[in-house]
Amino acid sequence: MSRSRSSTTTQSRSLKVTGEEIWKNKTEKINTELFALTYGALVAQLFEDYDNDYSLINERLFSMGYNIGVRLIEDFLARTALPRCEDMVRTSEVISKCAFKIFLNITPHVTNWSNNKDSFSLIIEDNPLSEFVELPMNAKKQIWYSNVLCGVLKGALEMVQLDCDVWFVADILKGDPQTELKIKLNKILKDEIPIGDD
Amino acid sequence: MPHQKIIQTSSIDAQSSTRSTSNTGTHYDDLLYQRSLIYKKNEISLSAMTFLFQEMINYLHQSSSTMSEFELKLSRYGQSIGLRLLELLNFRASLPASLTSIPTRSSILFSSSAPLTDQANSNSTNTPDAIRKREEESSTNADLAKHITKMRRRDLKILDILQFIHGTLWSYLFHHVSDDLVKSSERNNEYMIVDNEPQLTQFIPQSSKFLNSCHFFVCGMIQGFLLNGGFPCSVSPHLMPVDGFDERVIYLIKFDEQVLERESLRF
Amino acid sequence: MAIESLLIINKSGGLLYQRNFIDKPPQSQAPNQPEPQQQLNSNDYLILASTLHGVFAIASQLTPKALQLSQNDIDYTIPYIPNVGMPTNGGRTGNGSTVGGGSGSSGPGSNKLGSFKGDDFFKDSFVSWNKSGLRQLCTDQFTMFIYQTMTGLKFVAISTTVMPQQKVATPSGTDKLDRYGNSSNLAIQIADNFLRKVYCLYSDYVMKDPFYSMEMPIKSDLFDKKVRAMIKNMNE
Repeated sequence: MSRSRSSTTTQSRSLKVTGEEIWKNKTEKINTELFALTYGALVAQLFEDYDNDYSLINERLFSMGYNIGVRLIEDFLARTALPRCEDMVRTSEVISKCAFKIFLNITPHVTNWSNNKDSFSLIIEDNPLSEFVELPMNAKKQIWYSNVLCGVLKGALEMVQLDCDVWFVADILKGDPQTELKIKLNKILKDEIPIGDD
Repeated sequence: MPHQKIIQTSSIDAQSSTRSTSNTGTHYDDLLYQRSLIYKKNEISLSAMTFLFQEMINYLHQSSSTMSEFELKLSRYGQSIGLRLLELLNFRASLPASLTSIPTRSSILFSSSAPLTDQANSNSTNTPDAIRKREEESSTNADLAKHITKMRRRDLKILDILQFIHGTLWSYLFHHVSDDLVKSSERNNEYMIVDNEPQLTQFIPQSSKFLNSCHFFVCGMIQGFLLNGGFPCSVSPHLMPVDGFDERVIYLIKFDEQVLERESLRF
Repeated sequence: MAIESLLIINKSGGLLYQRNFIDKPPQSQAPNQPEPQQQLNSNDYLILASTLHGVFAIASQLTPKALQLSQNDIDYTIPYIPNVGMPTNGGRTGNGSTVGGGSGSSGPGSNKLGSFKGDDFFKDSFVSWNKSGLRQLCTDQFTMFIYQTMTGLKFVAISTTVMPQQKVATPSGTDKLDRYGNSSNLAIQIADNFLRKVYCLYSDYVMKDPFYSMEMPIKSDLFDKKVRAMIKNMNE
């Protein structure tokens, strides 16, 4: 037992190093504020197009994220060439220390594990999407402004054969003390794992 | 409509006065105004940006029935960003160098992790450290307004504001000044900004008949910036490849007649 | 190693991309080489792709695990081999420096690697995702290399110049002879390095193209151009 635990910690440390190294040396970068403003313009457009129907907007943001996720995973894998994760604990580390680090230069804190280790939370500080954002009072209760992130994670994980539910449970933009995103593994899509990758 | 509030000069006074920070939401909102003032030079990956840009184009493309509708919508996105950036960049340009050139100081004082953790562990918010940090923060924010002795003057001349776009805006957006700024020799209301390697569209196939249309995003930003600065104009993209730069694009700016008339009135 | 043909096959065996890269001038063909047979048409390639997909699946039934031979501690690591498919003299300088004054982008123009920073897409060794599947297929006429991603994409390179029995010099020193083993191993490693880079190009010029629909044939001229440049560098 102790051996496996210590090997996990060395692994996660090296994931941290891997993420930071790739972010620093192998990734072209652009101004976060341009990103935030662009996303803001998009959300504003959705408010208009969907006539302030917040649940529809949340849905649309999610599906946009999904479209991004199924493509973004290829960028992530080509860039990192990380091997398949053996469990969700490892997956959570890769998401936090590598994926979030490399794409958004943040490292969300992994916490709130379920007992059977199939679901966890990401506490997102410094969410680059929320830069400059203040939600209108009437939208505050219902809108998940950064819902695109859930879609991205859903799409990306599905492409590596992990069927997960991804949703926000709290957002600092809504007055919550922190921004918390939940990932729950439904099942591993075993039939879809590429032959030869085992 | 959610709007991205970029600090405007007039709102500073209202901001700097002390407001209750007991409510977490209010506290965050307060921070929002304060933090936006200082450019933290944060970066994300070009990949994340281009994936977002791609999905945005995809969405607009699906919801537009004609090419010109698509271009107009994309341009409006850009405009909404450009007109905010005029305020933001003018404001930041007014901050004294001492405040903007010491990244360590600002990043310590304005890093959001500080207030966020304060809120997260509400039990520990009253540790001396947290209190000191918060006081430090609010005092500096109040100071910030005082530090601005003089707002940067708005650009009033065509050339001045174009230089601002070529230099400040472009560096802010793309890490380098634009590759050229040219005045048309044929029509005196036309100017061109040149980008040899447009970043956002670099992965769109050159054979795509939509490539040129995708440049309307940046066109919109330029246009919004100029509109808000009092220079009504239209901006259109033109692909002008040269040797070594296959994706080179020229943003053609056509100022409205009134702009030229005003320009000639000045002494 | 010269790459003559490249295929990309999706996770269900559909052909996404196929190009031949044989330089046309027929007079430069070695006399002992027979005229290439009639070109395959696009339908032939579709069949080829799905056949390969099937063969790949069948072949994995022959792996030691399936045969219940225990073989522990297999090292799936592919060493990084510098400059595979990269311009030889540390990067061309863009010819665009003649563009008028006020030039801001100081860096060299055309040798940027899209969203990948630096002078190569990656610099570290990496672990193959294709552990028990087919990696190399040799005949007397050609060698085929297969790189499979975690998402199930297959990148396939076909070369007629690398024969398994052909000796290839190890890149540095003799102490690595064990590591690289025979030339066939080295060829696989070069191919894996190359194909991962094609994957990198794919992630930029196909995945980030707003007008590309997933699982559809790749038509991007930019992707084509970048792949061609890389293969040209390989073949030099």
